[in-house]
This record gives sequence, structure tokens and C-alpha cells, in this order.
Amino acid sequence: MENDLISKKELLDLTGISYGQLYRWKRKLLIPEEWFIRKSTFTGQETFFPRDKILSRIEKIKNMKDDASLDELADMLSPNPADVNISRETLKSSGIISGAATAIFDELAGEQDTFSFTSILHLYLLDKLLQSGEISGDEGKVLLKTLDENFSGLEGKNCDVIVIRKLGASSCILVSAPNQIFFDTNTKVAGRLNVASSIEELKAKLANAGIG
Amino acid sequence: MKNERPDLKIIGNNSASGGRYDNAKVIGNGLITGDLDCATFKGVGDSRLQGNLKAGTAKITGSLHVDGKAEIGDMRVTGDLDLDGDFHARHCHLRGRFTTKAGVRADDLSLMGHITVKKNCEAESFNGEGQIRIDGLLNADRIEIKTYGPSRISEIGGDSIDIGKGSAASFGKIIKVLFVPSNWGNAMLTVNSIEGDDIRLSSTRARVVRGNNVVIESGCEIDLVEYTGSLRVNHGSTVKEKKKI
Repeated sequence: MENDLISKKELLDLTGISYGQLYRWKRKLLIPEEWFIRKSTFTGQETFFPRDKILSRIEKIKNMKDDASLDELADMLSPNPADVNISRETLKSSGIISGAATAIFDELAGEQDTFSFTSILHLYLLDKLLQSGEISGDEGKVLLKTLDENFSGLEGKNCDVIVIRKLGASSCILVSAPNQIFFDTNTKVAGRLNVASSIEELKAKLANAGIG
Repeated sequence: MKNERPDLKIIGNNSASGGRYDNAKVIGNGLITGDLDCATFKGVGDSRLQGNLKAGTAKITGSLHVDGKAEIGDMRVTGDLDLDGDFHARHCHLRGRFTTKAGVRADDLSLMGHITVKKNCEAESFNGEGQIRIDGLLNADRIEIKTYGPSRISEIGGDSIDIGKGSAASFGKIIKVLFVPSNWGNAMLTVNSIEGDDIRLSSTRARVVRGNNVVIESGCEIDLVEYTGSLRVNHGSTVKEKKKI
């Protein structure tokens, strides 16, 4: 665990940012509150961060801050869904979501002409797990149902979506993150995705495709 | 759109239910039950709101107690503002007493008098004068603090930080009436840690000060200063340990 954390001092030293910038980004919610981990050390309380997450986040902010304002960045990085509706054709031509995922979605929800950000996110999560071969089409349906019924309760919070299998039967779990969960030995985790980072990826992809 | 909202007026000792209004006004002793959403709120005397307050502008002369949270564009208070929930504002100018059991988020805060915040206080610019107590983190780009009475802030972080003891001459007349700073002698600010780029401190007691350019004026007791640029310590202050990084 110790190796996964980076102290604030080390972070500033490594990235070359100042205290002012760090606090400003924290204020603008570019760095989530839960990444600030307080620990007692021999010099008193110190703040630590999850090393990989904070380093990649700061790299991202440094790269993007010349092109976008901090508020725009905050929108892109926040776990809140963006306020966009995208037509079927636009989504299809952008190539973000595969046809297989869309077909499963259509089977459950009926053919829609436009997709809200939340639907696209569900599609995106499904697509990622399908593409990586981690889950099957039937499991995908379970996943979509779980997301559809329960996602609103976790909106704006960080969560993980997990697909598990035991003795040939599969199931899907939504769990607020960061959290540790443990399964019995017969249970196999088929696929696991972090929703907040997927939202981030999706927002970046939509922005690259010139939509949203 | 604007005309669809009625005005609310409470005069004397009276109560009304909340709702959506254009202009809400309380003169005297008013109680509003339920959430209040209005373009302007004006309170003269004692107002109490049992619910959340949302207002484009608010002006309070006297006191306002909100049982919930408040979200306000421009706020001006002379007297007492007391909240149970979070306080969000673009600008807030207060002379008197400010208390919240939760946190504060604002662009521009200018508070003078008795200030108590139970959680974090975040602003682009924070200007506080008087007796200040913040149990969470004070995080602002520009922080300016003048203490008139013993003050305590858990942590301070920002870009430029300037802390010192206020002088009698600059203390506002209104505040002298509302709040007599009998304990000027020990108007020290006690902080666990101060982190910023440009830091100037006087009359401050701190465990750790970390910054780029640090100036310690008179009357400070600091355990550890870590700096990357320059450090200047006035002989009227004690710094136990200095570390250049």
C-alpha cells in the first residue's frame, strides 16, 4: 500500500506544480476529495495521494489547461454525466460504440433515435467489456438492466461495475468506490470497470469526435 | 417569466410559508417555513428560515438564521448570519457574525467580525478580519487575515497568504459595537499547517509552514518551515527548524 501512495511534497517536486495550483485544482474539483489521504507521520499529519491516479490526472490537467478553462476541464473530469443528446447516426459514425453493443441495447430498450449521455455511458461500459471478451452478450443484458435500474442512485458518485460468475451463472454488481469487496473462491470476477474513469474516457472521446 | 412569481412581504411579528417568489422581504420578526427561492431577499430585523434558501441577491440588516443550506449570488450582511447547512455564494460581504455548521464555497468572501465555519471554507479570495475559527481547510487563491482575538484554523492552503494581527485603528465602528475584542493581547492565529506560494505571517502559531517565498514577521512561533525559494525571519519570531528544499 505504501508504495502506491505519494506524499504531497514529492508530488509537487515531481510534477513541478505549486501549492497554489494544487489547491486551485482541488477547489475546482479537478482533483477529487477522496484522493486526499490524511496520514500521521513523525512530522504530524501529512497528505498523501494515490500515486498513479494523481500523476496521470496532473499530467492531463497540465496538457489540457492551455486549450480549455479550468471550469471546462472540471466538467470533463467530473463524474457527473454531461448534458448531451446524440442522434443514432452521429453516434454510429463516430465509431465510439460498436454495432454489437448497440444491438443488445436496442433489444432491451427498443430502438431510440437519440441517446442521452447516460445511455451512451451504459453502452460504452457494455461495449468495453464486450470488446475485451470479458463478458458474453447475455451477461451484457444483465449489465444493462442493472445499470438502468440502479445507476441513478449512484449518479455523481464514483462507482465500480462488476460482472461475476459462479458455477456458470452470472450476475452484475454496482458498488460505490473506493471499496473493497471479497468473493468466495468459486466466484470469478469476469469483468470490472470503474465508472468515473470510463466517464472521463467517454467525455474525451466525444470531445475528440466533435460531439458533446 | 418574472411576472409569474409573486412578491412576499412579512411585516411585524409574522410567519409565511416558503416557495418561489420574486422579491421576498421581512421587516420585523419573520418566520418562513419551507424552502425559499427568490430573486431578492431583504431582511430587516430577525428572520428565520426553516428550509433552504436560494436567492439572487440577499441583504440582511439584523439577523438571519437558515436551518438548511443557502445558495446566494450577492450577499450583504450587517449583523448575524447563522446557517445549519452549506453556504454557497458568489460574493459575500459581512460585518458582524457568521456561523455555519457545514462548509462554505464562494468566489469572493469579505468577512469581518466573528467567523465560525465547521467544515472546509473555499473561495477564490478570502478576506477575514476578527476572531476566526475554521475547523476544516481554508482554501483560497488569495488569503488575507487580520485577527482581533484568538483565532484557530485547522489548515490553510492557497496561492498568496497574508496573516497578521489587526490594528485598533482599522477596526470598523460597527464591529466595535457588536463585538468587543477584549482579548486583543493574545490575538494569535493558531494553525496546524500553512501551505502556499507566497506566505507572509505575523502573530501566528503554526506547526508546519510550507511555501515558495516565506516571510515570517514578528510574533510568530513556528515549528518547521519548508521553503523552495526564499525565507526571511524577523528576530521577533521563533522558528525551530528551517529546511530549504
